[in-house]
Formats: sequence, C-alpha cells, structure tokens
Amino acid sequence: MLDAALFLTVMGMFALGLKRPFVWVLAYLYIDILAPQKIGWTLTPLLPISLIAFLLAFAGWAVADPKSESRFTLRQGILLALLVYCFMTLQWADFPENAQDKWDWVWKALVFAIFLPLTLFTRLRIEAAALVLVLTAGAIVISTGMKTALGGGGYDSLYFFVNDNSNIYESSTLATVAIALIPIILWSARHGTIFPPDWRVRTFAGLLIFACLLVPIGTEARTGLLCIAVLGVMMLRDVKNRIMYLLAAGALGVMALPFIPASYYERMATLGSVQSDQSASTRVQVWMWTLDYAAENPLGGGFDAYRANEFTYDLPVTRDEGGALVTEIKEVTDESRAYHSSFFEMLGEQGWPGLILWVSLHVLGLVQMESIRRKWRNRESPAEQWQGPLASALQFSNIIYLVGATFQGIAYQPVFLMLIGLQIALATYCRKRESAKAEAERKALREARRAAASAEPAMP
Amino acid sequence: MIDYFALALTHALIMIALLRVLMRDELDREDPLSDDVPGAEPQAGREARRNRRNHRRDSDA
Repeated sequence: MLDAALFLTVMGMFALGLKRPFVWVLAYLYIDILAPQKIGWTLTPLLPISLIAFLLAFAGWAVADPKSESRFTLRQGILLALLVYCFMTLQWADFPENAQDKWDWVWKALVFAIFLPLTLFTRLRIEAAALVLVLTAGAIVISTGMKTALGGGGYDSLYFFVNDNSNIYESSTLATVAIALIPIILWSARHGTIFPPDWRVRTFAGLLIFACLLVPIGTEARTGLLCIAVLGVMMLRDVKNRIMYLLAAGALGVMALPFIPASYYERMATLGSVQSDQSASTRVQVWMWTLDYAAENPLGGGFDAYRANEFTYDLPVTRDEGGALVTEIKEVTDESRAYHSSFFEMLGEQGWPGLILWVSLHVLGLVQMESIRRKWRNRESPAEQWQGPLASALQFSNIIYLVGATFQGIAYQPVFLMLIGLQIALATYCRKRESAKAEAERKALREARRAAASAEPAMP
Repeated sequence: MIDYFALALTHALIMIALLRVLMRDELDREDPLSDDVPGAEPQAGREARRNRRNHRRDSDA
C-alpha cells in the first residue's frame, strides 16, 4: 500500500513534468531528500528513480527552458572547482574503494547544486523549490517530532523511514537540517503564493516548527541544541517585537519540557564534560590528527582518509558495583574515527585547496545574502517584498549549517547544497531584476531626451 | 501509524503544490519589471468587502 502510494507519487511527478518540465527538478529534490526508493520495498526500488529524475531534470532544462535566463556565477564556479578537485583527490585517495563509494553520491550532489540555480529564474520556481524542500524534509521531521512527543525518542532508539544513516536519515544531521529549515518555513508561511498566508498555513507552519524543535530532543543530538540556541539569538535581529519573541521562546521551551526523554538530560550533561565522553574526546583527538595529516598531505588524502587514524588514550569509566559507583581509568583504543567536523573533513580529504574552496563558498554566500537583505529591505513595490526576507532566511540556514558542520562531517550534505543553490538563484534573480530596472530607466531617460529634442524646433 | 500520517500529510501538500504551480504561467516566464505580486489571490471575504466599502466611501467624498 505505502509502496504503491510512493511509486504512484513519483510516477505522477514524472507525468506532470511532461506538461511543465520544471516539475522534474522538483521531483529530483523530493527523491533525493526522502529516498522513497529506500522506503518502498518492491515497486519503488524497481526503477532507478533518482537517476531518472536527475536525467529528466537536465533534459527538461536543456529542451524547454530559455537559456538566456540562466547565468553562471562565481559561486557555481567554486562548486565546479570543488567537484574537479574532489575528482583529482579521488585518484590518489588513501582508501580508493571507500573514496569511490563517497564520490558516487558527492558528485551528484555537487552537480545538482551547480545546476539548480540555472533552472530557478522566476519567483515561483524559487518558491516552489523551497516549498518542496521544506515539505519533503517535513515528512521526516513531522514523524520524528510526533514520535518524540508521544514518547518514542532517544538516541539509537528512534526509528526513521530509512534506518541506514544515509543522507538526512542520520540523527545529528537531521537535527541540524530541521533547525536550519525553520527560517525557510517562516519565510514560506509569510511570503508564499502557492499556499498564500492564511490561518491554515500559519497553523501548519507553527506545528512544523514545533516538530523541528523536537527533532534535536528526540534524536538527542547535542549539536541540535546548539543550533536552536544560535537560531534563537539570530532571530532577535529580524523580529519586530523582541519582548514578545522572548516570551514566546520561553513558553515554547516550557512546552517542550514534558516531551524530553529522561536519557536526554544524561546525554546533554556530557556537553560540559569533554573528558569522560568518548565521542567528544576522540573528536578533539581526530582534529589534532587531521592537522598533522594535512601538514604531511597538504593536497588532501581523498575521501575517507580518516580511516588511517588510531588513538589510544585513558578514559575514566564509571560502573555500578553492588550499589557503589566505582570509577576506573581504562585504556581505550579507537580506530578509523570519523572527522566529526566538516572543516576537518574538508582539510583531511581535500587538503588546504578543498578547505579554502569550501569555506569561501559559504562565506561568500553569507556576505551575498547580507547585501541582498540590506539592499532590498526598504523597497516599496509589492513585488519586491520577499527577496530581503528570503536572503535573511537563507543566511540563517547557512549559519545554522555551519554551526552544525563544526561538529559533524556534513560538508557535502545534499540538502545544504540545495540551499546553496537557492542562494545562488536568489542572488541571480535580484541582480537580473535590478539590471532590467536600470536598463528601463536608462531607456526612459533616453526617450524623454529624444522627445524633448524633437519638441524643441516646434517651439516658437 | 505516525509514519503513515506524516507521509500522507506531506505528500498531499506536495501534490497540491505541484498542481497549483502547474497552472500558473509565471512558472516559466516573468516580467522583471512587473510590480505585481505574481499569483497573489484577490483578498478574500470580509477584508475585500471592507476595502471595497472604504474605496467607495473615498470616491464618494
């Protein structure tokens, strides 16, 4: 039943694309985020739907879209350079087989991020892409949020639609994605034209945001908590009534308390004590190891280069012995510890060139969104009200991603690359509108001058 | 059960969104100089009536 429904949804999207090929781009966003082929068991895995959507999206753009509308920007150039560089490091990778596995999905995510902005040249397309992204990730967020609310949360005990830690079906990644989506949800609820703002949209958006906030609690992802805090502080910038906002945030926090599983407090308590937590202490060790590794291999060791690491250290282990807690120092050896940080992931795998490309991609995005936000803030035309807030939302999402990425290896996370694609599309859209306006003004001025010149001889 | 609910709700919304998007011309074309909000629906119900009334009063004055 579920399998058939998912299969029909995908086929329906492919069919709708025959009328408007842009739907295939949306279909790819949907398939890449939700992975319906992994949820279904017979019908959906039958066809390589992800590949089909990928090819259809390209074909649709190549055949139907006006190429004069598409621009190739600096940030797409950076993405392309990163793609080429990743391919180069793949050739000298320390672990060629593992590197090949990672490359198989990374190249697709990067190519799609370069391609996406080319297709998003109207407001409606930008909005539709943002909406499909939010709703698709929303499916995972709503189910996780509801399970948390009904008491099914907990690290390692929460079940998603797909349980292979792939893509955003990994608890910490999902927590970061969920929080990063909040600004986009708010924007869609305020400036949407597909679902124009009314009480239904506001209610849905409110509940979806609440579900997003429950995800870090349900998955017990410590980074998620940090992301919530950062988002909370950042939103102070744009809210009109700060006191109301602080009160509402406090109320929301109190409302969330009953849903928190008991194990959550134990896990969060380890935030402060790096020493006795294996995950946190190896993290620092891996980072140190990566710095040494990059000193020896400044051009990077290819995907999954972390597999070479090995650490031995003493860890205090507490156990219960006849009612008394005994703490012992034990020697623990860890091998192949993942980077636990996208910055170090880039440094270890792609070396300094990769890290510089990746950081500049994000820093340029933040700067670009800030400049759009400022420029479009005081526009009066009704058609120029949504650009500034969207820039602001995408900027917040990007910052939340960078906070999450500091503690997780999610440098090539497809959802965030899609958000980068949206940023590029918005910047291109704004630039195009401004240049069209400037051109129209110049033309009007020229015509006024010409009219004045031709009118002059008639004057007595 | 929760999974089915979450999937059904979001899929219904995605399909409605796709159908709405499909109907609109400004999906593929947009006048970069237009000041109109594309696809903005006329104000509904009470608000529209109030606006119309106010407008009439203004023009009567």
